[in-house]
Amino acid sequence: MVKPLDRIGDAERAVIAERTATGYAVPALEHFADTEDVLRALLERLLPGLPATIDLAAFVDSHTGQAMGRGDRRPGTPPEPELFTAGLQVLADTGFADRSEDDQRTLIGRMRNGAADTELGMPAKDFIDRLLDKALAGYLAHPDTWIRIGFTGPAYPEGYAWIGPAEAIARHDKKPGWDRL
Amino acid sequence: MGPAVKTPPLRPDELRRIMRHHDGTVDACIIGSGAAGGVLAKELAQAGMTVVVLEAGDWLDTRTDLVNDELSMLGRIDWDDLRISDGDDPLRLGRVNTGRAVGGTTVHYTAMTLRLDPSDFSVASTDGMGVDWPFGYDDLAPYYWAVEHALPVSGPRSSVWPSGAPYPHGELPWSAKDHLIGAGLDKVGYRTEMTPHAIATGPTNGRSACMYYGFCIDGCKSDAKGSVNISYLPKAIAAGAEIRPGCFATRIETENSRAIGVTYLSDGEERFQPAERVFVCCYAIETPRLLLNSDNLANSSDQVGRNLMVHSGPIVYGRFDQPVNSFITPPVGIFTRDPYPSDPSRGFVRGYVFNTYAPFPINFAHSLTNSNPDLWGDDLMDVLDEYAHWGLLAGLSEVLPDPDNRVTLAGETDDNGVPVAKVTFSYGDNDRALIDAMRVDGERVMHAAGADRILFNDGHHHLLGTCRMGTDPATSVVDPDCRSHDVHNLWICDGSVFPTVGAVNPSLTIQALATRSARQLTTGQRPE
Repeated sequence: MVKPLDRIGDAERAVIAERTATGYAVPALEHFADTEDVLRALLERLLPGLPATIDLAAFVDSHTGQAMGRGDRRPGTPPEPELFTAGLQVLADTGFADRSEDDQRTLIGRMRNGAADTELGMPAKDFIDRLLDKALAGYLAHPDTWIRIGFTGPAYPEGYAWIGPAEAIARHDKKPGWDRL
Repeated sequence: MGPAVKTPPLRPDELRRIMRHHDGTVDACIIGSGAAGGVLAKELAQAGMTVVVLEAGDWLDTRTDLVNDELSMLGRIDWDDLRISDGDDPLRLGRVNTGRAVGGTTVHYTAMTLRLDPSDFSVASTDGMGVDWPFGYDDLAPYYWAVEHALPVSGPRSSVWPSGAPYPHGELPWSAKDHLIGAGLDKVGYRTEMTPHAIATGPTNGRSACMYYGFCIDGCKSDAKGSVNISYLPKAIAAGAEIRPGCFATRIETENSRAIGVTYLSDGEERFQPAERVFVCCYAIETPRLLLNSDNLANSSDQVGRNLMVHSGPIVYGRFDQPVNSFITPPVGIFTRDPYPSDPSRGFVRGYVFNTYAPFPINFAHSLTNSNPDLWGDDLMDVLDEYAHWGLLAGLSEVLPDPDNRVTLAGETDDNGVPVAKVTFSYGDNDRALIDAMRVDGERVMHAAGADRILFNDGHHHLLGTCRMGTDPATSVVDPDCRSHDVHNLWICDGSVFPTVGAVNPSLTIQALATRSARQLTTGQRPE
């Protein structure tokens, strides 16, 4: 349950409103328009059953190249835009999007375990790991996901300092008005 | 202490209005406004010195610039510039261990404020590994006390372990995760206490008490957390210090073996700040990078960049039937220090602490998927769907120094053409034995608490070492006052100087060291 929008701060409300309204969608991908089918297939295997309200391919595309709190890179691994472009292109060349879901899963499992770098001729583990990181940031920043997984989102400015046993019990037992607490 | 001043304002725009500006040569130029730099600025300015602090990051207003939202803050308060990470155990670098803002890493730290243990100062003498500190716990204790009261720290009224208890503020409340996992710790025989935090639980100096937003690591909007930009820098500014945000130091300039000032970039323009004394407070990667980029400054010992240490920290994730709802209080809860003392019969030396922990969703997922290559697809979605049912027990253990774990300069340069750091890191045998034992022990605790599925994260925290403190100029970079052996008006004062690292979060010790350095310089006396 996310707090009612009129009870949270302006900056937090703006973030929630924007993500809810757009779901990150863009008119067209900027970086990966040519390999969009591969990107979407990868994301669907990595995070199956994504709701239609969240466009993770668009999120990944628009956030590619942003460090987002992580600056380390292995020697020999290219910067993220090149890494993502190369990874998606290699998979496109092997017809990834048209292969069976089982085939796709097998290859992803090998990439995640570092067993496909030689076969694909690129740092495939770095590629799939960073892609999953980026996708997870988008998925888990969306208010629909918060409701689904039971995260309450921002509580600024009132916080939870006032929670006492009575409120906690009311929430737990879903007593009348609990969802306004 | 300097003259008493009335409570200074907290908001950056108000602080800017009262802030003095210094032209020409200053008494002290401090590079970095984090845990150490902020303390030095306050101590030196209150002692009457003219002080300029160069900070690469922005000066954020905690109420209006911080957003209680993980995604909004990812990269906003982190040092996530390029670093090349190599070795058998390449480190993850960014949010997990370094900050960039006025206030440095303390803007996003969890605010755990445990003291080192007395035994941590003599690892070589007792365990035959690593090195001893050049002084002992008793020498640092008065400075710990001074920092705990300046932040201020909340914590238990008494403790079974060496600590600052009784603390100026009462402890934070136990949350659901603490009761749940605390029962497991109790069953295996570990004693527990609420962790001391630099988080005020009552009003102080115009700051709010903790409101339990839970977003400590995305920056505290209530100002209850004693980030340096809230606890120390307002007092530094009131005493005449100048903070210059957006200023990236590229070189320390020298003349006849003395530092004469700092060259830095501001809005893409190169500038020079002349100074009588230079203090480097950029943490254990950027500090050696700056020295190495300054013609290998202060490095006659060849120790600059060596002995990089982290704290290894497997986090044990346990799934419980009942929701844990861990996110409604600060992320760190109770802790135990019972597995801390060195006991060679365990198959390794040194030890660890356990504490409960609660990450927000993105942090939760990243830390799991980074360590578990088979966690993706349907299983990952199931784990995420039960986010509120997972409780975390975080281990934090000592890593011993190894001169081959080091910071050097990489072939790559940053956007300004300055060579970036190459970080090489591999765990040693003792480190690995400790990590393995912690995982086994943590799993035992979580099962005792009733968890029915366990996952691990193989994480690490903090960046320490790389400019070792010692009495011998041949084997150390700075003396016990954090002053360079080679360049007598240059201080290195941050986590870089730790000879060994114990197994507690380092910020309190960094701040105690900074207080000690400043007071040795200005008065040569201990605090009262």
